[in-house]
Amino acid sequence: MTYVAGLLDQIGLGGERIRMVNMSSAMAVQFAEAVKDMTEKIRELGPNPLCGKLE
Amino acid sequence: MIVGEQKSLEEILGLLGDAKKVLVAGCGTCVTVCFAGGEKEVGILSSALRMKSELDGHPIAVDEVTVQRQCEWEYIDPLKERLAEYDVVLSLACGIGVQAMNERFPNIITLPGINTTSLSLPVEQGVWEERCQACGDCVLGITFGICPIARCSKQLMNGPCGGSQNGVCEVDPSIPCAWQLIWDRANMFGQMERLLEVQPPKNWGQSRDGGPRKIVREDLRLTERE
Amino acid sequence: MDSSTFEPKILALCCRHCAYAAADLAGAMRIRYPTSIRIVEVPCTGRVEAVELLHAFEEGVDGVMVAG
Repeated sequence: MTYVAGLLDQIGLGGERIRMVNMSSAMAVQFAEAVKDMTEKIRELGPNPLCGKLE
Repeated sequence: MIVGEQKSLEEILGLLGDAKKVLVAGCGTCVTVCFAGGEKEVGILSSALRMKSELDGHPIAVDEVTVQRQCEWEYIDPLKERLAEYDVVLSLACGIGVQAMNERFPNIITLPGINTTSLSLPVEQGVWEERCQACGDCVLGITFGICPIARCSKQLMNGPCGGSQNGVCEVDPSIPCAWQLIWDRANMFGQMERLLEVQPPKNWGQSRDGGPRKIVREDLRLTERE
Repeated sequence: MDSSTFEPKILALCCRHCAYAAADLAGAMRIRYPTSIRIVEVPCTGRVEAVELLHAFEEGVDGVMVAG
């Protein structure tokens, strides 16, 4: 994960676009939280600058 | 094994210059097992190059190929047909592979994507330590299996030197003193007296000092020499 | 696109036994979470290769969440 995040930084996409979360199968609330959190973070970062450029 | 390390994305893009179509060529042997230039690394680097070049505004079309061994004609010859469509080849093989590509396919430039660093031992997952310098005149038989050429910072044939302190090298305390290791091992076998014999200067003529080396085995050759 | 209307596309690679099951449970419990997520079930997050994460970005996703 750290490796890919570093690569994304080098590429210029931003390593924050990737995240690893850990949870158990009973952690439904935490799952929803993680998704919400991630969505907010990505919304902050804006769209992937590559979107639509590469087929 | 031969160990290498990938160059930075910046340096690679600099080497690629104005190339529009690039073939990233991996090697399935040494650089695969040291995670520098095998099929996986070819995939990762190619993807990274496509994205970075796009973001930089000079998109490069990147294709991928990995051959079993880039340092043997028979494995690289099948690439011949494909090469015409590329501006440049970026090889993730060791320096031998890169040169083999340039020699075999003189009409296209093959650039290096990794730095070939050493002949190393993977002492644990993710750690490679230099063990051999290919000096051409192996001394392991008189040094209890520990190489003072590769592992002693000063390549001493009689040691340790005065810079050996508490078993580590004065050059860097993270380097164990090779001669300490040699003496310890001699002691283990009760043969320390064997190290008292002073070794004469080593014959570096069999190393790089004699110029590029070459081995010719007439018994193996398929073409007769007159 | 400004940040208020931007609806991110996030790839979630979920371990069959942990996060995927958690997502399943979240559904069963009627917990609301954003629609930005696209879940792909994997046998184990250890199966995910670095190159696959990069390919996701090449294909245009805005973020990747690996959940195990």
